[in-house]
Amino acid sequence: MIGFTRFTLDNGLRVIFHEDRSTPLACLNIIYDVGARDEDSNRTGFAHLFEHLMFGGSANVPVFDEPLQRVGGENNAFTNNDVTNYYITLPAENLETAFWLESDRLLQLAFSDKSLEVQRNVVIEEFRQRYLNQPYGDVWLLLRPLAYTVHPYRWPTIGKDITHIEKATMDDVKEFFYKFYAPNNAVLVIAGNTDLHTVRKLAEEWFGPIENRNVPKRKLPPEPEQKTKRSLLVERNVPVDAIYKVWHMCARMDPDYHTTDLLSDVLSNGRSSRFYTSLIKEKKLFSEVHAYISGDMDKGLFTVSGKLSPGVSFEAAEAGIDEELQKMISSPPSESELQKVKNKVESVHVFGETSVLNKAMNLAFAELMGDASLVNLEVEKYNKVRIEDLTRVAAEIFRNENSSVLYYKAKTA
Amino acid sequence: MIDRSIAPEFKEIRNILFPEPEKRLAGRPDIWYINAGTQDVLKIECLFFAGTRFEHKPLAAFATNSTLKEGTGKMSSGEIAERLDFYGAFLENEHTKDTASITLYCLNKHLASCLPILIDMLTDAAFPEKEFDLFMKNNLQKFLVNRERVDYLARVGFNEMIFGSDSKYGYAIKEEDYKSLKREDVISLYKNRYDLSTAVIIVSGKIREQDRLQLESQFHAAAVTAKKETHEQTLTPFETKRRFIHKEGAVQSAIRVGIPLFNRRHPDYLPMLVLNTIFGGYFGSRLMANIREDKGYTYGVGSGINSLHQGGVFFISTEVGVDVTAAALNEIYFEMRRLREQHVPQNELDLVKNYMLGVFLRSMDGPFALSEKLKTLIEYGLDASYYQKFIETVNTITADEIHKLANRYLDPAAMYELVVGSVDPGEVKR
Repeated sequence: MIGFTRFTLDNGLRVIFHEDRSTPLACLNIIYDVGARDEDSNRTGFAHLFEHLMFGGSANVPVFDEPLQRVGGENNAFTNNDVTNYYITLPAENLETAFWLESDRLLQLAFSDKSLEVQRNVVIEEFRQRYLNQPYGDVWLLLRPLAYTVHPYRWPTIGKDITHIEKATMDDVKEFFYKFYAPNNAVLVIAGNTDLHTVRKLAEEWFGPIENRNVPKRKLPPEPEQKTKRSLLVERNVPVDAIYKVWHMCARMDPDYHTTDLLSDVLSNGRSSRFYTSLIKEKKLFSEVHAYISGDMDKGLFTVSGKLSPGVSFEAAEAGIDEELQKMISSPPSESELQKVKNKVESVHVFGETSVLNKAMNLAFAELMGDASLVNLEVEKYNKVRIEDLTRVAAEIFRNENSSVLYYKAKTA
Repeated sequence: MIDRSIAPEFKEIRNILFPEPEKRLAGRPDIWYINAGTQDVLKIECLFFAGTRFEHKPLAAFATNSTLKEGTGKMSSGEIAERLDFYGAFLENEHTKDTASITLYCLNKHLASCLPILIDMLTDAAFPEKEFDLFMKNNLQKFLVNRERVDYLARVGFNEMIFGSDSKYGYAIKEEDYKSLKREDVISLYKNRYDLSTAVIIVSGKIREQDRLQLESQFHAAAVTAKKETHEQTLTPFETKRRFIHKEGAVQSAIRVGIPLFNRRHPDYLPMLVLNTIFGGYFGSRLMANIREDKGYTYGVGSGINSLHQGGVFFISTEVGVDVTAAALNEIYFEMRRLREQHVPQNELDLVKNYMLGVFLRSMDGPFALSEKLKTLIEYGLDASYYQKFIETVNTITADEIHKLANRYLDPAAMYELVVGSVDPGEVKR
């Protein structure tokens, strides 16, 4: 149970405070309701490039990291298809420094030409390091446009084409900032060893004077229902064949979300899961195979990925996966199999609450989805899932016409 | 109205207390307790001196540590997995060059169900042939994939240069090693090195009296002393200081530069941590500020110090665009020379001091973090005054001492240099 207090500033900034006296630290987490899905299809990768620029100094802070390091703090950020999240942890008594830094870059970013030029290069190197220079690194560059035809989830956070980043201009950057970075488009969470009075005062002082901005209402084209299976075969310089198969699934706030998550757990969470015992140990089709869900705010993907054992054909591998998925319907999980994955969910939840930063991020994300108190309802929602829910959702999702598959073939020398 | 142009006041961290851990000596093995935190969870780490250094055949330490959970005299691999999964428990196995550990994470309420499984694995592992073969086969595939990564090749290739290809620390795993390791090698290492009487057990979390009683009675009943053998290795670095490993088609080069160093028992170790932080140990470091934030050559660059039971290594690591490989190397040596020629400005040194103490404070937050800190002390035969010494060193070190250290240890001419990539950048001026 994560206790919290919530209030909203006049400019629309939602603020959440969670007190934790067991730590000497405090953290400030601010989440902006903007991600790669909000990008123009001709200017992809902007949300992420922008995250880099947010460290390039602001009106009153020439170098973002320096004052923070000086007070013993540390920070980072991440961007995904839905949101951009920034976080700072520091000794609780120095919390005000975090307010100063975080509010100043929301008030007015420096927009220096040098920062844009350097961060463009840094992001291009990030693209090379993570997507081009890794075995299997380009998988999601290939899979997304296969699975999505119109929804902006069809490109990854880094962008669909690195030339979009190369061509980014200062005007593009400014436009993006004033369009999405606004107190009324963010949730601020403070967690740690401090009190509500302090948090309220600091929030009013530092974030209060920032004017709200006109944030466009999100209108994304929904992905039409998929009618036929899609597939793509690529050959790459990798040592092992791999398969990636995805099915469209529900959105994060859908009542079936937790059922879908448990489906993936029954299939592949832990060494007693169905995939591990059947596909790896018994049939030896794969050296590794995983099932996981994307957890996206809009309708997401259920993914199964695996590396094929030597001598196994793509047909045999895919048939093995499909057979296990059909078994979710023909021989549904037993009560104890279901209880097992629920127990794991509970355990992960309890362990997750040992970290103050983790708690802050979860609160921020939940509030952005609609209500911070969702964090305390999660375990109960998982516990309510019944066997018939699993079979019903499995039957809805695991239809071949709802799937896209990438055959990632090792180039033979 | 607040004045945004003025930084808010802040307090410097001057002292951080490492809570005195409690040790029970009622029997063997030693069990250490860190009772802290707010959640009803436990972490039980069982540490053995059974790392790579103690193996007679390559991969033995890794395979033993990983396949302990694949069956015992009483339970099959599947049963172990099923039971631990059912209680929502997690097993973590980890091996380093020196140590190997098995860690159980569970909710307090499930300790009674999970602990006997853990003890069974530590005392009666069976290493079934079938499971062992499957493990080796599947990990060979992982190895083949890793071998395609420039950062992996650089890490392994650099270790060879620093410690020597024939030493246990420096040996680079080959494809054949996956075929030549036999189940008997694993059983032998298990018998010799997974010795509960000399193991170190560190329990952290919210510990109740009934948890202690269970842990002590079960661990002490299980401990049997094994025979001791000695393990010597000679560490002989490469004669040549420069090495290039060709990786066809790589769009980035992986760079490693560094020297063999001492471990954390050496008097210069703590001061070196400060020098390392200034040079490449944090986001605002000299290397990051220059090579990423000014030049944009890389997504990340950093330096670090690895302490091992026998010696250690200081290293710089980065991945950069192929066309800027030589330029990045030049900047690495440039930053070394700068630290040798000029004193660190007081302003920068003060920032680094505060930053390091902040990191230290965070690294002691919560029971699990404290257990990591304690493990380090036990491994190196140190006591809690070591962390006090760390704080003192950070607080009192001067720019002059940093300057002397840089001149002693950051010598471009002494550095081993490795590039893994598609184009050899050639020798750069140091």
